[in-house]
Amino acid sequence: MIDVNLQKSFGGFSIDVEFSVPETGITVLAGASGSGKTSIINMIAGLIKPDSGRISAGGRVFFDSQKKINLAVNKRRCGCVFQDGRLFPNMNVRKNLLYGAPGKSEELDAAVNLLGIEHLLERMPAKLSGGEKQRVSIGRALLMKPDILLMDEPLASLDSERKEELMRYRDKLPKRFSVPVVYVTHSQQEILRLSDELIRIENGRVKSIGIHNGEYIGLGTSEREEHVSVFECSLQGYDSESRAVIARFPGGVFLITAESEPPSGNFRAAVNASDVAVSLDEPRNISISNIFRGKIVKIEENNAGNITVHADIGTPLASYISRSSLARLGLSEGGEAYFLIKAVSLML
Amino acid sequence: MPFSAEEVNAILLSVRVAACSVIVGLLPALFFAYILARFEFKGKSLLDSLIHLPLVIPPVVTGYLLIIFLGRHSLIGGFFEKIGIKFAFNWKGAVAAALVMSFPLLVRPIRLSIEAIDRGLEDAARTLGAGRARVFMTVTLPLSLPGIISGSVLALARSLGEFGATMTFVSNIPGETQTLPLALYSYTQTPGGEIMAGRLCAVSIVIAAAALAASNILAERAKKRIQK
Repeated sequence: MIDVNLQKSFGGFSIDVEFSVPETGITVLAGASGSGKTSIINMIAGLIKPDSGRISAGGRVFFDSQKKINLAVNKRRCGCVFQDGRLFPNMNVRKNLLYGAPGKSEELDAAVNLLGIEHLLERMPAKLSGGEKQRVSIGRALLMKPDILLMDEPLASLDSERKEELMRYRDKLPKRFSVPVVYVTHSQQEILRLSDELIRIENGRVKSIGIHNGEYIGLGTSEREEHVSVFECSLQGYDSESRAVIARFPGGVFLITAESEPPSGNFRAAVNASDVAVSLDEPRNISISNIFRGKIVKIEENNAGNITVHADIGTPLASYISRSSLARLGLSEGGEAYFLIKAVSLML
Repeated sequence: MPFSAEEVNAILLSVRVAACSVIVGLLPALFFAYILARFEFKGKSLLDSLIHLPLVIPPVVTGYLLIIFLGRHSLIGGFFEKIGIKFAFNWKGAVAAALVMSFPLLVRPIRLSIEAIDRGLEDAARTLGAGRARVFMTVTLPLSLPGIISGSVLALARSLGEFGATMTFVSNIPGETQTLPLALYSYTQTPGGEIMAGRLCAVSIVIAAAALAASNILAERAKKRIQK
């Protein structure tokens, strides 16, 4: 367990957070740019000194303002993967990889295979693509056998194809190296796909800590500020003829079109509120296949001037409708309705 | 007409003095460049001015100050004499003069190149378990190599041309402290010395141009190593 409790003031901006990071899995620190999440992991790594607080990892104290402990950066054993990679330009890939782990060539082979960078070992960093640089950077951090892996928006500078390429390593890495990961991002897609635990940061404070089922407003911030409903799903089957994934979620069973069968048994699905329509009668003869009956919990006006309908279909679900639709349907809190989900994104 | 012994002596002495001043000055220059580039401390601007002072004060003044501070009867000069290094009227004094005069030109490019190194790289090295010394040796120093090269060449050229401070501090003794510029000056003051003066002038240009070319090649190589 990594326990973090720190306070730091930067002129007009201050950070005051307290949270714990579990021993396993990926803990995502999510928040808008400038919310303080990068400063927080820099303080865990020791690159910035907090004004006060205590940081400890697995019984080792990194920082304790009361006991005047401030462990040096190079003694903390925090592997860091930065947004810009930060490979040493004067060393080839092999030397970069072994910088934190001199002479460990057996482990080098394993890491290099896992990351698919065997062919790059003798190259200089200037000759690598952005995605290759980040894979080397991840390998370099893992090879030092860190007690914690801190990743600061490692995918932010990559195009979507490279992001995809790197996210595929998600399942392999932490398991193979069994290291807790703290992952900073403001991307909704990365949050939904990568996180085992989610800590949301806003204005230097912890906004929420917790699991995924439910609604979020502007989960990330790089995408639209829209209500998103997130479901933890389990795979029930795949109909290869209609190319539909059958997934069970707390509200029932979903059908999701997908080109191929998802590899893992559990995954997340996300529904944007603008992709959910509301009907009073059960629609028949309609192209939409995901229709759920549920209870209206709350009706409110949203920032865009539309109406947000919060419903419970066994799990929270948000829908955006227009004012005129609200008047026409006469929806009221506590009433029942059918919710038509037009599009579901699978987060595999 | 072949070079006279006096001319050859002056050329060799100049090269030796200039090379020694760069070699002796390099480590302290690295030290000062590093602390000026990477640390904030009280008296930083004073230290910076002190290093740059020889660039702006008249060389004769620098030479006179060297007599005061490094002369046999001064504290520092006395100390050096005890460990066997004599400056007065000695080629080592010419090295001291060249060193002081060229030191700012040695420090500045090194400092600039250290300042240009992304601190994030040094941070990354520290997170990988490297202590300050290892970070310096493996990251900071190799990446500041272009600055070290150009600083060394500038300082070498400045030392080769050093005149005023040397003349004032160690005088113009053929075979001991008469460097190329001093010899050239003497020939211009001697009737019939025009040919010798002209030749030394040419030699001086050749040496400087060769140093410049060498530095360009070295800098290019250092750059290529990073971009390979």
